[in-house]
Amino acid sequence: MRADSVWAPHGHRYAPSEAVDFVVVGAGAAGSVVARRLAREGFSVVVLEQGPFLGTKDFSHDELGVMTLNGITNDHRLQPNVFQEGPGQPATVRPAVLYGKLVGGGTVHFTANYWRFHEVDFVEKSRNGAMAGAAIEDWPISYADLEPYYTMAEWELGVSGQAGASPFDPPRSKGYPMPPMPAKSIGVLADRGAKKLGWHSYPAPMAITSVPFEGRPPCAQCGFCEYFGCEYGAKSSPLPKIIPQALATGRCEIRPGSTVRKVEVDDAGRVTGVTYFDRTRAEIVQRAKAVVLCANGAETPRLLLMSKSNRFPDGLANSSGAVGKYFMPNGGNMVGGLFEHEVNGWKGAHVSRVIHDFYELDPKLGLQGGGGLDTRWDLYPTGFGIMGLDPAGPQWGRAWKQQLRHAFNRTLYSVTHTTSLPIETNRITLDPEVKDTFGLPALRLTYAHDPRDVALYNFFEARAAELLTAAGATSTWSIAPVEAPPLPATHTLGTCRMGNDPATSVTDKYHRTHDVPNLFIVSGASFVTSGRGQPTETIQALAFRAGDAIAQWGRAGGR
Amino acid sequence: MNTDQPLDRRTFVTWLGGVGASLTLVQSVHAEIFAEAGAPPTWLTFTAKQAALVDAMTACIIPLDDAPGAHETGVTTFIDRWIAKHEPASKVRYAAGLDDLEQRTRAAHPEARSFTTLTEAQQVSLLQTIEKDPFFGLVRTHAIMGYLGAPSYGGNRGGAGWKAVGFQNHGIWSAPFGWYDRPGNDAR
Repeated sequence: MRADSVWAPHGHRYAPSEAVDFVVVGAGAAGSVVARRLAREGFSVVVLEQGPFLGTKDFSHDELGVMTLNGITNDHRLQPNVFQEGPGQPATVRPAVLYGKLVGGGTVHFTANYWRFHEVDFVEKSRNGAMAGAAIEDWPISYADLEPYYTMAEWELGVSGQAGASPFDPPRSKGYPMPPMPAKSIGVLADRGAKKLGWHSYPAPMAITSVPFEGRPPCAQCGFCEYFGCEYGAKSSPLPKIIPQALATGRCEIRPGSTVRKVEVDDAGRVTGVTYFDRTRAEIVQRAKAVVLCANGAETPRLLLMSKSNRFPDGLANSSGAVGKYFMPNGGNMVGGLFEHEVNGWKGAHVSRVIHDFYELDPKLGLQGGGGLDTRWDLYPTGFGIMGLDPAGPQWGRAWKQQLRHAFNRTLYSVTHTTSLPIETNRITLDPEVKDTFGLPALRLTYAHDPRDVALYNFFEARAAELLTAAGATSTWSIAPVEAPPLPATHTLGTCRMGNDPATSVTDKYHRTHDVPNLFIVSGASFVTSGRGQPTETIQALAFRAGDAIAQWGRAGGR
Repeated sequence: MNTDQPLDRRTFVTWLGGVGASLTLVQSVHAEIFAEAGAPPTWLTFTAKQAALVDAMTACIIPLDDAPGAHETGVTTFIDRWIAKHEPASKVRYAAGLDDLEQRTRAAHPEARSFTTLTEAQQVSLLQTIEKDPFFGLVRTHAIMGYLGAPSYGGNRGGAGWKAVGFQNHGIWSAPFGWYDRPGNDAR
């Protein structure tokens, strides 16, 4: 049981009846960055967050409590999802999306992979041409537009890495603020395999402190990164710095336990505030002169679709019909390899090496997009026992137990991260029947793999197995068969895409919705194409850039 | 090029002190490992007979070898508490699944009173006939959760499951992490 204090509001207190300059919905990767910027600029800001406000002392190594019982993620028992594997297929209640539900959002529990997108990720259409059945578009901004904000994100959040270590890296104006994390055995083996194959492994850029940084300790290498909050404050989520600085302005309030159900508009079609449920399920209207939605790529479109009105019968900011469409979860497989000696991947931060030799593929291969692979360990004992071993081997009993005990310290995984194509029918909608604990329509995800994405998964799965074999694995296996949809999805991208054309996109290139002049969207929802895995740095770079644009808009009078 | 920044434990502890944190963090992690959970005086989910069946079944899934198995580490206690507290819908699945197991036992071994009285070899071959069933999958998942989850949930007594696989919830590690990054073994 959590103390009531984790639900207490922080910072300056505003009355709901007071029209603040900005309401920010979601205190995660993007919302925290935008809120700090706007508050520093002198605006009054209320941040509404569904989850609690936790600190380092609240984080544990309890695998069952954190992972199985959704300790810091959305709880599907309270907010069920409905999944449908393509239009017209049966719809069933099952976890479809997973996101950090606490102040700091998904960046509290992420693995901390912090990859920039490359130039090609913003210009897929002009580089590779249109694609049948996929809504591939260029972004309305380029890598060069975003580069200063990537640098800002790396230095403001605190990222460890080695600039120039990958020959495939896009140009950068500045190196990383901290040296890379330790190689560990998982990195030594990656380097060994890559060298044999003529590939280029390089130290993974991680949003984790490798050395003392701005009063924060270096990573203790406890090994509990993915899904867990960092009890040392070494993971560079917004919790150690961005959020305290936002609150320190004296103009920002963070209100945990606030579940927004509707964005309110007036007869002129302008946003006037939001209606939300507080912890007692009382409905409260927080008035605002403008609203910024930073509620990830799943809940943002759901909220817009729930915000129907006479003026906006198809959902708010949805004249294009694009709200909820083009859901992209990034693809990827997990390939295991068994080694002769102890790898002990579970000791220390999870990812140590990345390989980007296949970021852009030879057109002769006939594949769309590209990706990366890494070497890692991100299972915990229970997860390893349930699904970590070769599925072709014994799954219980004496032989299985022997293998479990032998392999726990000798297994290394290579995880692949690939493009998802933007497919119109892969989308978030409101379920017509199932309701959540507040009586609101459940989030429905309709998603079917595009065969071109599957071809890419298969290509990368083969590369991962090749890498592990070259590194000396005595056997390899895949534990994420491509036939299954990748559920629950943690990368929720593309559902409110940016663009220059109001007929085909939801926001302009400054994140303002085409339809509503004082409504902004900044999150993974803003993505036009999926990139090639690891979206967090791009989400945060967008947030830094959007903060500039929204502040400028506000200074100019907020029209 | 060596870009690693290994951090030995003393440096880390010094650092903790430097930023005002205390060693209690490290100690509490240790306390968690050694927390012992006793058997409940009464079952919260199962009847005594059901508990015995679950115990026999999970002992086949995670048997005793030179390390403790499910029975020795309190897995049945874990499952009983877990369902009562977090997964009430599974109670009927267990009731039905265990009934089915007893029926199968009588069909295969008319002389036997219960699955619990079969030899281990008989139990294992019976379970092999249902290993693809959702109920078996549920019990397997619960057994592993009980064996390798935190001891505070009632299983993994004394951290014995963790010891069996070689995991330590230590809280702080530094290089070398494994054999391959030990100086001299790095064959780059």
